[in-house]
Amino acid sequence: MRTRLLISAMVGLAAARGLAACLPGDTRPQPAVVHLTVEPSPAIAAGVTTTDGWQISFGRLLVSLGGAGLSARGVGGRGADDSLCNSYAGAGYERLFDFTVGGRQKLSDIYGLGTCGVRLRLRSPGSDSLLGEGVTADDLTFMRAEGADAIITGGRRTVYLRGKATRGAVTKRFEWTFRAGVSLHGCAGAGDVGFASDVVLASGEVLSLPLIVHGEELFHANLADDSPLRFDAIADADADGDQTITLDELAAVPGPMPESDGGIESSDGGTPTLEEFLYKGLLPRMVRIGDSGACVGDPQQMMMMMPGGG
Amino acid sequence: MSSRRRRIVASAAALAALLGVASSSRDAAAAAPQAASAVVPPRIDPPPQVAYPTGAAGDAEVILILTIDRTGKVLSADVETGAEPFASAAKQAATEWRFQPATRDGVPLGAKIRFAASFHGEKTVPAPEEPPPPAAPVVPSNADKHAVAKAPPARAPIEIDVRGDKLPPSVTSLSRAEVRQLPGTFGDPFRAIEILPGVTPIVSGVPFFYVRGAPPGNVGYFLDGVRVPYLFHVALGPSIVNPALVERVDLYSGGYPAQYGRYAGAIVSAETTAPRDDFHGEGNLRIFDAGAMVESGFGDGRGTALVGGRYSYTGALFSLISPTLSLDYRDYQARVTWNLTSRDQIGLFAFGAYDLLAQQKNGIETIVFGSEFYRFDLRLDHRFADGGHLRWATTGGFDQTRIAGGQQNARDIPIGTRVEYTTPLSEDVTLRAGIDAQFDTYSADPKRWGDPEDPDTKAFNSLFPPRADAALAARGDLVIKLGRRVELTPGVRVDLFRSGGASAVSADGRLALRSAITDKFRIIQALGLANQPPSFIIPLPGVSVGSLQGGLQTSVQSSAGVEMELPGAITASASLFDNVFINMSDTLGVASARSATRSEPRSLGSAYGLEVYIRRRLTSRLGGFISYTISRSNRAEGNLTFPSSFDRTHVLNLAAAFDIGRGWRAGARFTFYTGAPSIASQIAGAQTGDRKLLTDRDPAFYRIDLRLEKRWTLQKARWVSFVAEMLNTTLHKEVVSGQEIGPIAIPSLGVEGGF
Repeated sequence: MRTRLLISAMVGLAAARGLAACLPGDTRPQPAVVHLTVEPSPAIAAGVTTTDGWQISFGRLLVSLGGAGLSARGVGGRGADDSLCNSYAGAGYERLFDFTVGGRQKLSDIYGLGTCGVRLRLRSPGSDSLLGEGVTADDLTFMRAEGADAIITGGRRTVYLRGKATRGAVTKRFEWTFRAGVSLHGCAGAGDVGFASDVVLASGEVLSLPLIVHGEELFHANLADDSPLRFDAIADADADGDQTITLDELAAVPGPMPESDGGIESSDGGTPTLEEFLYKGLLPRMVRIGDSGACVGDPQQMMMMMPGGG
Repeated sequence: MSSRRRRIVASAAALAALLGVASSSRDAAAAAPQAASAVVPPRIDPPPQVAYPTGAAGDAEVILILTIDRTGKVLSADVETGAEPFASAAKQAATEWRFQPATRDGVPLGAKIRFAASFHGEKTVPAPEEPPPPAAPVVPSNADKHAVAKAPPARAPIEIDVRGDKLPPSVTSLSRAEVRQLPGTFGDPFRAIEILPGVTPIVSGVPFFYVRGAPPGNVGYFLDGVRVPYLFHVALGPSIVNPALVERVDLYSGGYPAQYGRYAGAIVSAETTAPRDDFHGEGNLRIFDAGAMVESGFGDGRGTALVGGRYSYTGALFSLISPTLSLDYRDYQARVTWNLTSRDQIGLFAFGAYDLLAQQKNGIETIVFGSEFYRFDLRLDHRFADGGHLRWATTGGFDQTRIAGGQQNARDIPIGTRVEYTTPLSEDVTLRAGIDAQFDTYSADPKRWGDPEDPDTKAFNSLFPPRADAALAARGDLVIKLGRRVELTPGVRVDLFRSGGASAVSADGRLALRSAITDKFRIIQALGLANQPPSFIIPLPGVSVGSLQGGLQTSVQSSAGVEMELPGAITASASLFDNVFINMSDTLGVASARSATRSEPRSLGSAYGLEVYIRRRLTSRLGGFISYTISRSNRAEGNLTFPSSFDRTHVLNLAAAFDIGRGWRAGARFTFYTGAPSIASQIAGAQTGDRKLLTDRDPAFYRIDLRLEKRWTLQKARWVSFVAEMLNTTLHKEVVSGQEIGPIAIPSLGVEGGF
């Protein structure tokens, strides 16, 4: 009988231990807030003159930007060792901006502690994406319409650019849609020192991080920060002579020389076309933090492009 | 649904033998059973119910030694002779029988009797109009000192008509004794579901399944009729109920009995072991955890009490592998029963489970996965003289899950009551009816840190709003015997749902038919309509889609097959099934889990296929099975029809277990399935529509599980086992959506024991 009681008591105590458990609440200390804003570069509003004499102006620049979060510092990006960073909450959503309208606007707020790297993404908007200043529901519908280009055979718009370039009596128009998503991280610091996307977050702190979208970036001659702006090569691509240059036309002409194309790989293994140069080389460089250098741009993971994902 | 009453003739050789005196004369007892100095042996009326063993075939005789106390309760049942599985079935059933106690001069006595039970497959043996007098018991001089008299072997047994419920046609059942021998399940009856035909795994080793095309969120789990939010610790781990407490697990793949509702896919229902008032228990000690269960009687045999639990000590182990991770899981079970009268019993069954997987970084703990639930079920049972049964039960509890993204807890306080009634309306018709009401109060902590404009947060709050839900149901079915060979079970249930101000009503019809062409060949058919409120991607405690958003999910389930008993105690079955799912919320099946907490895509679905199940009980000296399913599961959105994300054309399980001798037993299992549609390749395709028409699939996967046990049987039915087991011994990796994962391999070394 004593053995029976002893065994029963032991098992009972173990069972009671199960009863004693209860999920705790959120016990984490107060984090810091990184307030991300975004604004157009002066060139988008005022236009810019290229070194080959073209006056470029921007009629519409729709950009879907978001997916902000904290991860490893430096160029690590997502999946890298982020042991110094405690990310509390990212902001997985996108906002659709028209950078030819309005100035500085909120992108999102993200929360965390420690030494972290800020990451972003250019991605086609979801149905619940928020709209920036001057952007309408029709714009959202327009961006969400599916289509194809030389890089993405099916997908929604990530960036839409419409404008013109004038030199003397010649005016060339351009209207380009980019559908690929790009994950941005490891943004170079000003003067190529450190990383502008690295932040040190202390409890209770509010940190503002201004992003600047440079539409003129698409007209650089190569991937060097000090490379000149030019338009001749693009203007010459107007094969049908209708004065409007499409991405398809850019796909028919070679891009810059290999030593200045940043190692961009062509889809067919040959020399990258001008379209591929714009798409893979210049597009990721559009978004910068303050006056810093370009960010590392990784093709958006396929899973993130999944239709039906909002 | 279609409980088939199968008549079993049990010859109750109440070859009596009451305590104290070693011999008696049946004839003498028969001649003067009521004489003043005569002893009246135990009697049983109405005839007891016995389940004809699943998968068994033919006739058999089992001799039991029953110890019956002064209240008529069977204290113990020991098998004297008899083959499996009949011996276990008879023994298990006998512990629940209630006798009229033996008496001497009208004074109740304890007794021990020999009881012979004969099982006859499909044959019906009429009950004797009046039970012949039982063999004469012998009155003990001391009722506490039981001794078995040597029963004269030549005595004619007394025949008692014993009726048994055969399981419904739509169910596949696994007993715990059998599951213990199944490699890769770690003795866990719930985990063994994955070997059954019609069950398609999502990922090897992860115990969430598609059943005949129905996603995990549409599969309901029940333990003793109590809804259970989930079955496995930390999704991958052992089940949340001590295996020693589980008598049997049934899988209803479709067309299930009317008692089961609010799930449109399938039902996994477990039954606990019957209460026993002899002191017994089981325990195990493994690499990751330890568990134990003990049960004993009290109150002179009128009551029983059970406690059990499992506790993981993975923290220390994990700290060696990954210092930043901590894992904790535990569960408990407690059960108390008390016989108010010989026909009335009150009982309380409580159980619960707790899981926590957390990560420490820079001194800050983040919970990666946290979940817990607790249940109590207070029951009042009454058995009628005609064999009917009434249960009134009230269930309450607390469910909670950590939403990892926001580190917020979502919870539910469920409370419900149900009445279950079974009664024979005639010799050939049995009514099973019930009503129940279920109330759930859902709430969630606010997200402490996060962008207030984040649409994800708004969508989450919309999908899982704080609210009070109610569900009411009335149901009934009739088990109708049409002659000796045909059994028809029509049923209907009506459910009323209310959630967050929205209401819905559903009416489900069920029909099952079992036709015995011969004693060893049967045709089984089942048809059912089932409705379910919106469901989450996988079942989680405290997380339920609110406000009936998108309306009810509906399924039409049909199957037809044959069941055969082959030589060598082999059972074979083959079934064709065809299910249609309407307005189903299968986030996994139509897309990725990315937007699971933001939106709830609805789709039309269908699944059809063939299931083959051939088995010889694993508890046999050489046992094994072949379980094979060929199927196609489709989803449709708009004009597009495409394979479900986890459609697997072929799923094959082979297993064998062999008694080597000297207490050694070895088993092996081979699992194979074809790859699911590769989501990655679909996305790399172009248009949204096109992606779903692409036919690329991930590579096929197979694994081999092994199990080795050495068992020592000690005195007084005590035993100790050493068990070595491993899931995926070949360390094969699986490819899911183009990405290689794993290998998911789970080793287990442990010691088990019981008394």
